[in-house]
Amino acid sequence: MRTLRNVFRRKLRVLLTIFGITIGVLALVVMGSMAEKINMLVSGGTEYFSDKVTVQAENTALFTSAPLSIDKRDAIKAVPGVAEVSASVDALLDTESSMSFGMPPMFSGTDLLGRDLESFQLSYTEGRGLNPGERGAAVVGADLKDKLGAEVGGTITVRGEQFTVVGILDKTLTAPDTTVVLPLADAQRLYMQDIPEVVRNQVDQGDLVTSFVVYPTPGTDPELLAAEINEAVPGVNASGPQAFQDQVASAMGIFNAILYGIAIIALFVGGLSVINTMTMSVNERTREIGVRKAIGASDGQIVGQFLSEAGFIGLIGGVSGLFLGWLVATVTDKLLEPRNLDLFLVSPRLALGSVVFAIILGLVSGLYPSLHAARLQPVLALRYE
Amino acid sequence: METMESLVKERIGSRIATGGAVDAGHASGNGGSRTAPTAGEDITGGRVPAFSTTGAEIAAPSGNGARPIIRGIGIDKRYVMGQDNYVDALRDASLEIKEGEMVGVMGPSGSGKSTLLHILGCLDSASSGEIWLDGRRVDDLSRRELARLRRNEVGFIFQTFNLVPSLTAIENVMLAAEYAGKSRREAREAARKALSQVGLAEREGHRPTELSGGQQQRVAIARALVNSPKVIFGDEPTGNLDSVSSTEIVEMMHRINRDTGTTFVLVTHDPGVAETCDRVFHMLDGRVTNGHHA
Repeated sequence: MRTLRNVFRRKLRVLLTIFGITIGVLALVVMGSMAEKINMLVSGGTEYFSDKVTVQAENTALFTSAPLSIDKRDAIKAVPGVAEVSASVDALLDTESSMSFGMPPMFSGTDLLGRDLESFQLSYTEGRGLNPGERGAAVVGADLKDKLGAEVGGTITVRGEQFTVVGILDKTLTAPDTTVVLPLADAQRLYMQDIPEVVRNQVDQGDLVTSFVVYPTPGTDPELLAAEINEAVPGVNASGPQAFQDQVASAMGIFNAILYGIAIIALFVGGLSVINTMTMSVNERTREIGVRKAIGASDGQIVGQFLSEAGFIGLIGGVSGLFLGWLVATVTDKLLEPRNLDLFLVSPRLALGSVVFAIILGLVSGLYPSLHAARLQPVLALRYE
Repeated sequence: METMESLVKERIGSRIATGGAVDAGHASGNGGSRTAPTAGEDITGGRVPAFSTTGAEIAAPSGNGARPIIRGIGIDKRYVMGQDNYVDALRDASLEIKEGEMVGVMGPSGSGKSTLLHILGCLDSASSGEIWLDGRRVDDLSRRELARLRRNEVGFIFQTFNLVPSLTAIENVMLAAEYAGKSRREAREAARKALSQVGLAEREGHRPTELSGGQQQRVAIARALVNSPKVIFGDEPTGNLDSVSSTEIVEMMHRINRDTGTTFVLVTHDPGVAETCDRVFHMLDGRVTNGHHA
């Protein structure tokens, strides 16, 4: 209480200082929550790709949906070190979906092969996974549940076709959240819409996939296996875990560094204003410090007093910045929802981290003024007018 | 107050004439040279019977028989402003004050009164010389030790009261108790007791700005008292008060001196205040002119 009263002795000045910290923390939370969102996607991807090889059509980049013949499966499976090959068809859920900042909603058809070899296990909030041979069924990712109005036992429409929802996935904070999992055959049929009309009539829909997931045998290095597949099977591009790191994770790392850099600069400015405020406060209260020392305050007690005031400014700035940042992130995500954009993730560690950071900022900024206050000679401080 | 002034003139005159510290005679046991009944009546206007007593009734062990609580031996204090530019605020100042005494320190402006008080009260350090407080040499103590001493052994009262403006009366008093290591609850209890000692129990929730000068000074006295110090130093404690409040404060300090045996050292310009003291030290040009006679 006393700290609070001392802090608010000069209301306008302290409010401006707190505002400075608030802006800094706001920037940290907004930028940080974008970075967190990306981090979660990337770490999910890193984990998913860590123990397998992804095979796509030749001369295509990761995550493109170029068609590939299912015939390649046998050739890939023949490569030594391959335990299982699962075919999948991945395409945009909504063909009108615009460019997306995060992961766009996708549908993913799978033949369910190699499910027992998959280390990235999915769990279900409701219902179950697909069964082999099942048709017309769908498993819906956590973020798409509300968007598609999905309920277990109900139906959803994907590319104009009705599917019965058999399960809803738990939130993973990565790709599956925005994915509808379909049986391979159904997905292949929907995927035909993406094939140019001139080609469409000449191919068998059951022949087209967009990628293979290759599970290595235990002890096989996925990077070496990818190289061997590239050599043994013509017309494909096999990538190991490193490809994901190279193409996605490192680029995102730079992006994150820029985001956090901007936030830290904003906070640094906020910190300078704390130093300024606390120095002025110490100067104004020089006489009071003299009195406090005259009645027995030790150096440590004076430091403690001013540090707690500075830390308090940091705390208030941190909490209000967090609140505003959370508000901005939530409202923006809500506004962008119709455009299938989900930019921010105010994770608990980001929330806690930004408040703790603001307090530390207050304390560090308050350190010099506090030490200055404590070192004052009581009699000189008392004489100060 | 007029009678107080006339009395003071008379007393000061006699001191100057004798050229020594005037012992008001507590220790002499029978009122001694001090015309205490008259002084008491004049100063209090008869409002506080406790004060209008003879010196003989003052219980504190003061005067010649008591042990010394403060000794300053050859204190020098030089303020250096620059090369070959300095001021000697104190030059070989010496004095001895006995436990339970109420002494005044007088002298013209710039004579070193406040500097001496600050050095004796461990707020400032001497350039050379020895300072003894309650039998312990204190001029060479560390900052930490000095802080400990200020919080436990001495109390301060200032001309401008120096209460912390953002704190209420009781919080100001509690502050000193908390610095001395008391818990919030213990400090509150001790502060209540000290405030009722100065008659301000009902005003504990008021901020300094809501109190009169006299009341603020009483809060300051309560703050000085709260850790039961051996010595209370007053730097012009009535300097900012009107005559009525001034009298009240002086009476209060006397009552505390009498009831608790706390030694008081008061720097003052006011002859009326000095008059009520057991002894008065006079300072001139950084020296205690009658210090060695103490």
